[in-house]
Amino acid sequence: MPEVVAEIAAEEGFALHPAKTRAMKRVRRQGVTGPVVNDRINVPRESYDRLKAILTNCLRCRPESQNRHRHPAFLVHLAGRIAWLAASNPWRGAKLWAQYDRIAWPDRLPCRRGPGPAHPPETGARPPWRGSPQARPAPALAQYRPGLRAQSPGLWSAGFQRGEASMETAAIIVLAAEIWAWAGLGVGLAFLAWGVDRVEPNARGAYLFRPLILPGIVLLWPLVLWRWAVLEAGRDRWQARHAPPRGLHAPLWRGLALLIPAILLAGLLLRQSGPAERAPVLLEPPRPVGAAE
Amino acid sequence: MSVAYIPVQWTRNKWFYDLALIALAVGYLLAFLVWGNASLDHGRPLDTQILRMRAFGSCAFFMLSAILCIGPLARLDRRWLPLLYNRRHFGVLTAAVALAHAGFVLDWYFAFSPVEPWVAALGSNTAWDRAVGMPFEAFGIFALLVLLILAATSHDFWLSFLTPPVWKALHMLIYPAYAAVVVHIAFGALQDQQNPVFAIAASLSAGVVAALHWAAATLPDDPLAKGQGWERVCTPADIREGFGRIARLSTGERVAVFRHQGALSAISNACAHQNGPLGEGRIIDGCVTCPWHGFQYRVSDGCSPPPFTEKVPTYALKIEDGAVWVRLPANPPGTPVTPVPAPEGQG
Repeated sequence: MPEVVAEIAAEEGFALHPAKTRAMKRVRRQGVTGPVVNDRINVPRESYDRLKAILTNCLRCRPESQNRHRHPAFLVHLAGRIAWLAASNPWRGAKLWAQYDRIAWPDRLPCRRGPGPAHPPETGARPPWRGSPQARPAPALAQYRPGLRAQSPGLWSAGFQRGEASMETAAIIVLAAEIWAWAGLGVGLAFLAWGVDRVEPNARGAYLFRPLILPGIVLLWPLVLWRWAVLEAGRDRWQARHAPPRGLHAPLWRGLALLIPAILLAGLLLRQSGPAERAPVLLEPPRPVGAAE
Repeated sequence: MSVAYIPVQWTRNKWFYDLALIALAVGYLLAFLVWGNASLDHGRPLDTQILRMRAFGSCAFFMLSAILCIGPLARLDRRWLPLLYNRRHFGVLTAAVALAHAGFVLDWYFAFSPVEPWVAALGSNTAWDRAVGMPFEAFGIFALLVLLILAATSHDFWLSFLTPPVWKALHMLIYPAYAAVVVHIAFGALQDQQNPVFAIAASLSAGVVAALHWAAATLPDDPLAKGQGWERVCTPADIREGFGRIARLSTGERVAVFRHQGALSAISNACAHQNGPLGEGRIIDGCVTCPWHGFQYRVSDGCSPPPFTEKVPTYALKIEDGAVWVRLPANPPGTPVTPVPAPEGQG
């Protein structure tokens, strides 16, 4: 077995370190860099238990009393540990987040500014994917915990907020693109099945070219619907076919000719190692708003 | 030309054109993959995957630069027109190379996390408020989207269906796309490199594109004619036998006046195919031939010879006071107008 693994690694251009090579059988815990990977990626039981214990103690006693290692931002530290755990086990993550949200932080910590948006159910039914790796869903973006940002706006670095928001925006853009493409496919099939014969004389009796224009319809289906409607209604103006947008060319070309050197120059001047270099900034851990300086 | 659509209209010349293109692209990619690593000088060798995405990305950029040079070159010197003839195949090949580049990037930088690759690509860098480290990926995605739209609408069906002006306006998106590609490179790959070879090559190509567009945009335009109804366009002596002359009318439209067998006729300057400049073509076999793609029209009625069905508008024409006049508005496409005899040298 180790020989096979070594071969695969060698094919990919890696080499195994003999002193660091371990064979871990199915029956025991297969841990890799922290997480456990027996069935699917998970966190070790004791990590979860320890974190749960800390959160429970935070609920029972003063939260500061649990900060045994004197983390400068204990709240953030805990949130980070929960997020790490939730990334591989959202269900357990949700339980910990629920506990976290109930903790009575000292007044000056912004966490107590009223309840945040709804968070994952505390004791809901077990997710259906549990135990069957194949059925595991892609982690929902809600796992990034939208509530946290609303609760403690001053606490999180701008970068963290931006990253979280941009992932949500990106997911929305991708979803919109999917909806657009499915709508386009519907329009495309309808148009190619009978619309194209009605409005385009040269397409009658020609079928081989039709799959070739389907991608264009998927991309531009509103434009296709508009032209289809115009041609069906007989509102096509022949004069418009012979009026090219030539007036646009000269200004566009001049604009391009000026823009390109400007961009290139900016790209060559604004560099990390270039003349506009900024002095390096030592990053500090985030502090709670109003915390003692 | 027209008649029933077929998937691709290949001719002998287009086969040569396409084979030459593919050979050049494949040659460039192979050379980059074999020698690129040594010459890029990154301190340590690049991964095969990164080398591959750099090869395809830079290939697409140089191809796009070459495509953009064709238009202004053909305006500046007619000998470049043969390159314009099959420019669309060039564009489709470029879109394919750019798509391969994007595929390699997604499959390497964004492939090994539970987040969907496209979500990760769009959401991982949104530092829009700075120049160094800006999200250059977004500019590449925009340019790729434009290239895909243009490639997907390159069949002649789209010209006829959308009308040439709408199609042309859509395809002018290539200019913002090229600017986006330059941003993508200037704030992406060029930020990373210590070796100036690629920076110099990229700057040179983009610089040539910019210079050619500036030169072509500043070419003197056709003389303006003003008036209502009948408009003066030129004198008969301006037009050689077998050639035409373009004039812009007060409505902004362009008319092309041709001399064929000693008589003058006026038709629209915009070819029915892609609105190419008919007035810059010449008369071959009794028909005006578009310099762009060779579509032909009879000067007397603006119709393509059978079995083709394209038509362009015609204009009534007269010779008065030693000048050529045409009447606005134009006649509907395909309206016959009797050519007006005007012996060469008259006027």
